[in-house]
Amino acid sequence: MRQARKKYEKRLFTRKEGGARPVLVAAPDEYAQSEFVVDEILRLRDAGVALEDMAVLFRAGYQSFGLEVELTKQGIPFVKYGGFKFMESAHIKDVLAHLRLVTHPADRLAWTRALQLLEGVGPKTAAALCDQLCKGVDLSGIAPGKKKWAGAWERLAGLIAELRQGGMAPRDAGERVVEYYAPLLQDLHDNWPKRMKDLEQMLALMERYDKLEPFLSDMALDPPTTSMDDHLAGEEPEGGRLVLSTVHSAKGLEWEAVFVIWALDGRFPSIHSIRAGGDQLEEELRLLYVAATRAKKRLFFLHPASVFDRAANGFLCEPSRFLAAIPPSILPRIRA
Amino acid sequence: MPIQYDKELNPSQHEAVMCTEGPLLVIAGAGSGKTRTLTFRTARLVEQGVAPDQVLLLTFTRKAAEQMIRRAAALLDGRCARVSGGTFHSFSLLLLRRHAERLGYSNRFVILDRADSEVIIEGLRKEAVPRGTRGFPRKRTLAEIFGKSVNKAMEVKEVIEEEFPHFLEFAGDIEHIYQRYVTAKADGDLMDFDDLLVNARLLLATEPEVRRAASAAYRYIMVDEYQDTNLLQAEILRLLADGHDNVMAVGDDSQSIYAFRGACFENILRFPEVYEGAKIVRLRAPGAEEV
Repeated sequence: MRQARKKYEKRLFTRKEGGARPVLVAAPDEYAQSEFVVDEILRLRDAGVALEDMAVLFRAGYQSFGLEVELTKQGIPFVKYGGFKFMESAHIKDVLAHLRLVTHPADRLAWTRALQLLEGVGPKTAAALCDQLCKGVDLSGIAPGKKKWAGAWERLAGLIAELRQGGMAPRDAGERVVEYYAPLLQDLHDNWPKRMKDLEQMLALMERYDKLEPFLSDMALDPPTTSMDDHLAGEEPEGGRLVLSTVHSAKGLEWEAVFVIWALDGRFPSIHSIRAGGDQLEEELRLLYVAATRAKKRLFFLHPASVFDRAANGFLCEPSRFLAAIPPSILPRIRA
Repeated sequence: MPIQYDKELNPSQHEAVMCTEGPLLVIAGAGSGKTRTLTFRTARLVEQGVAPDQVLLLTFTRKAAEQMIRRAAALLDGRCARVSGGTFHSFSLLLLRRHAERLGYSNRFVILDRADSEVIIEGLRKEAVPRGTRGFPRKRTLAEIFGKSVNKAMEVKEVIEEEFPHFLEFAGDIEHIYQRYVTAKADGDLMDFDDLLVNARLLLATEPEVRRAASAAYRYIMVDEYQDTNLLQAEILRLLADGHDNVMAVGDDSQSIYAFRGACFENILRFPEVYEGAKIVRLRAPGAEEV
């Protein structure tokens, strides 16, 4: 961190003994990088380190895709932090929209979402209905007459009226909405069984709440951010799961062994920050520092030795400049 | 059995834990026992007789706060479980659910998550930009520009000049969309994530009654990961501690990684100026070998 310009001076020490030195590993390509990580993880596991005490860290969520394939092949269970868009999946938002209408009758976004799910209601009809509903017209004030969507509206209005009666535990309200929503979901998405699982996960979360409003706020402010590899979802494997995480999501956490992949100049730091220089490049340095300091005993930096990059219009072949600055006596270099 | 602070903590951790009155900045390098220090200090305050709900622990994620409070309760006793904890956003929400009416919202206002904000921005974008216009930023980029403007306390135009110069030709339209977005939120009783901070700060700054009540309610405030707070959060903290200055900020300037979202790691460098008489403690784990 002496490379940083503005800082409180600190000297860091270790009193841990017996931990091996960190190493910088150059692999011929991405596949070899993944292979090295997998081999080393299996070796450490045999030596008694639990999977949950190991983590693979990277700059951006997509950088672990290749590794995920190899882990799955080898049957190594993992959990990935960061980058999971629970709240951005349509089915979750659909169900939450209905619940939002309970606490806030004039929530225009929620009404728009709920109405557009109805058969025969397009954006125009939805907008017209929203205008009425958000101006205080109550549910019974909507008269669809013989319109195509009359039946569907009746079901929706019935649901909302029931939920608004009060006295329902959040979990029960959630179940009612999911019950109502399930047939719509099946029409909308071919992969509805997988999506139903997400909804069940959400219902399980609701159990901890005795009021709806705090649940909705928490889902907006602090939504779930982990996703399991689905071939082993359900039972917790012995020794837990290997952690895959972006460096940002790894903040404040620690593991016995940490692998930092894609420690390649042009990826970490990114080309973008190299070009911008200054504060942006400094932040990359701190980010690498955060990654490195997550390790208690073993630390590996890895990079593929040659990667074509479109933005750079050339090959990236050097390790991260922040690591290149560390003498080999402290950070030995090896080849995978 | 009482907690044996001097046996459980090293000298610098002990110093930070025992210093319970007045402003305190704790510089905590990686592995120096930051969480341990916060946990013991929470227990120490309660042990000294401070009412647990008058202790406020602000962390980067809600999980981190819950964990520290649980550990403090295990150290001392169940009283610690009643310590108030959360993020700046969840704390702001709590305040606004009580007082948003003073700012022209209802207390039941709707929180927009990022996807919701983008839906609204997309609607306004379509209205403002003629079809077929090439190169106009997408909704996600617009949301990013607006977010940076709020969190870095910069004008929309400045953000574009500094970080998105390739959109400079559209700056006028982008500013127009921003104004419409602000209006749409106010009219619709909606707050996005950034509004929670903006409005909590506004409430504390312009409503002395609210500020006095909040400051009296939280007499001891601890903030973790101070290097990743932004200017708004630093101001909220400053206002909240008005009248007692019992603030402990913990951070490591070397671990600041959220500048791209507006985090201002100078907050930590400026702490001694903002809080007069601030004491600084550097946590260290003593040993022989430098890393």
